[in-house]
Amino acid sequence: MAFTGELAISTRGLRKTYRRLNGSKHVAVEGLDLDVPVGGVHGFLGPNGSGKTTTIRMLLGLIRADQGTMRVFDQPVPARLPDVVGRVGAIVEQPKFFPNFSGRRNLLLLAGAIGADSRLVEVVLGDVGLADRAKDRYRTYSLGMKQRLAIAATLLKDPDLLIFDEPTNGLDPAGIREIRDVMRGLAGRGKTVLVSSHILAEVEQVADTVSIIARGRMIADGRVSDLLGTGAARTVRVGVAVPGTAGSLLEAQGWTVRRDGHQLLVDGAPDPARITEILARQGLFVDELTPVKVDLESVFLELTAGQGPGTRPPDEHPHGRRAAGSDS
Amino acid sequence: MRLLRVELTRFRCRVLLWVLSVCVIGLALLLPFQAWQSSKAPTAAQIEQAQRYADEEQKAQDEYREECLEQQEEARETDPNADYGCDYEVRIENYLPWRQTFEDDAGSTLYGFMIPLLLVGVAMAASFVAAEFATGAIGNWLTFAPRRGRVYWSKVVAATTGVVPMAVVSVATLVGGLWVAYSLNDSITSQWADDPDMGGERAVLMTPELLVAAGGRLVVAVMAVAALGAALAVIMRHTAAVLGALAAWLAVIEGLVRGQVGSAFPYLLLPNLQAWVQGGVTYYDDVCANDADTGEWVCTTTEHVLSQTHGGVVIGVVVGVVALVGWLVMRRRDVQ
Ligand SMILES: Nc1ncnc2c1ncn2[C@@H]1O[C@H](COP(=O)(O)OP(=O)(O)OP(=O)(O)O)[C@@H](O)[C@H]1O
Ligand SMILES: [Mg+2]
Repeated sequence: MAFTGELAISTRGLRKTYRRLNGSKHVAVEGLDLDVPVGGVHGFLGPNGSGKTTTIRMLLGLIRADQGTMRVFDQPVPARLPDVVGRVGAIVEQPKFFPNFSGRRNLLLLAGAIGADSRLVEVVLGDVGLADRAKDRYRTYSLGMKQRLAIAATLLKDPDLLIFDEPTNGLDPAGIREIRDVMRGLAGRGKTVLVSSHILAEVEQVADTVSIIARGRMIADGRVSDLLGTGAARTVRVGVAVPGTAGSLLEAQGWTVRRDGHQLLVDGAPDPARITEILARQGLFVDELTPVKVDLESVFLELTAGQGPGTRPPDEHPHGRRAAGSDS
Repeated sequence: MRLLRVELTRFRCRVLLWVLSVCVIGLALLLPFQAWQSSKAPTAAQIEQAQRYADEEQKAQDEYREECLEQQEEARETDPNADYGCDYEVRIENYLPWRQTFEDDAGSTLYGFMIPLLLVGVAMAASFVAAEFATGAIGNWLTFAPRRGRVYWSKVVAATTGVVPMAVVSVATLVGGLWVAYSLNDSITSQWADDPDMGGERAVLMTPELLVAAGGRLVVAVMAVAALGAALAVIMRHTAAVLGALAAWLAVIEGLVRGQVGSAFPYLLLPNLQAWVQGGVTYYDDVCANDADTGEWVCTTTEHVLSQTHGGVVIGVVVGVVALVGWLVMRRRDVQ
């Protein structure tokens, strides 16, 4: 388990199979162990069709899991979902409301369903900046407005956990930024935000922790900072006059060293300062020392390589590598 | 309870349901107007003309009577019961334009109104529920109200009670309108009730009390089909699918079976609805077999009555079973 401490979401061995029209079965989620710590923004990453939406739907009780257990705020779901649903706000894929009712009417109905004060509707409409379009039919809204109405709806519950499934799909840069600010703002108020996405850059900027899945399996999870510093991510480029000697010295430390022209690429190295120290002790002076700048994107691509749609089925995969979390 | 209140609010807010209600109430106003037109007293000119025809007919009849009686006498030598109707009495009514009366025609007008009213009831309930599934709003809804059973029953009950105002207003308009229309033309009493040729055959003549009672049962029937429509909408998810399936059922199953297998009649939907609303319907069942003695193919037609109670029970069972199936489907359904 990558996270200790309180968990907002925790699944074990979660599995979901869809039946195709021709009767064949398709495994969308395969033994997923997902942990989302309380507080902060948690990115839920995976290529298209990797099972993110399916997992979220199972958590919300919209579809049934075939196997496995799920807990939300330590309550088993879907069994105890009615008890925790008030603490969970969710937007799954596209927001869906009654197209011929106004935004306000849609929210009033939802408020009625949970017994919330109807005055709260005006408040949340104001919060998302929809107050002056609230009387218009939902179907006349732009995508960004629909998205904001959906956020307003989740705020009716004042939830502790917010689940956003690809919230920036189809939004312009301003809209994306706005959503990102909303998520950070919620996390700042102590809420837990689970945001699924296949766009890495987006999550990298807001998420504190991430889980990366491919073909329905967890392949890595942990703090963003740790993931960026593992594997290929923790590579240091070393420029030195006599790469041969330097290479042997560094290999003796147990690090993987590759030659790249006159430079060395050291994988799995700890602190760059250690490298300088070791080499300097032997009278070798480095003329370049740079951590190879990586982002989540490359980690993601590396981890999910060959696991996108149309590649091998999940069963043929060796169990995905899991990054070591900071506190595991 | 909270969910039911919200669902009823949603029912009220749907424009389509108002449009359908207005249409059906419009029909309920149109029918009494028609009744008023077709129950007007004949004009003096019409009476005069009818009298002329009647007199002529009477003359012809008088001339013919003797011959008729002779022929009848002859016939009685072989068949003692032969009746040539030679004493046929000429009635002026036969030569007057046909005129509707409350006693004769109010009932059939209400029963005719039953079909469109039930259709509108089903359509309203089905569209009310299916809209949520077709638009996907149900997924959002379930993240606010995750108890599927409660969500389901709140929708079915809301659809069932939601149609009541429409049903009551339209039935009351029709029943009241018919009474007013026939009263205005002073055309309450049946012209045939005292007709010796027809009297014996007459079904029960309509009275205001009977009409009100039938109207009340019609309102209950609308509620029943609304519950059916709501449950089917949960199962099928699209209004068009529900209406299409019902139309296909009525046309293929009820239409064909009704014609082919007389004994299935008591278990079909429409006859039972009719039995419930009309206080019983009569149907005929042909039993055909090769006669043991002659080897001929003979059919005997038996008359059966489908009672009001039978109709009520069958409809109740059908609605109950479909509602339970809908509940099971709702509980197990994967919502996208
Ligand atoms: N209702 C369904 N019936 C059949 N298969 C489905 C259904 N929903 C999803 N799938 C399949 O399950 C797999 C996972 O789908 P899912 O929607 O969970 O992926 P995702 O990670 O959300 O992808 P994306 O990033 O494109 O939203 C896909 O292969 C998809 O084709
Ligand atoms: Mg998805």
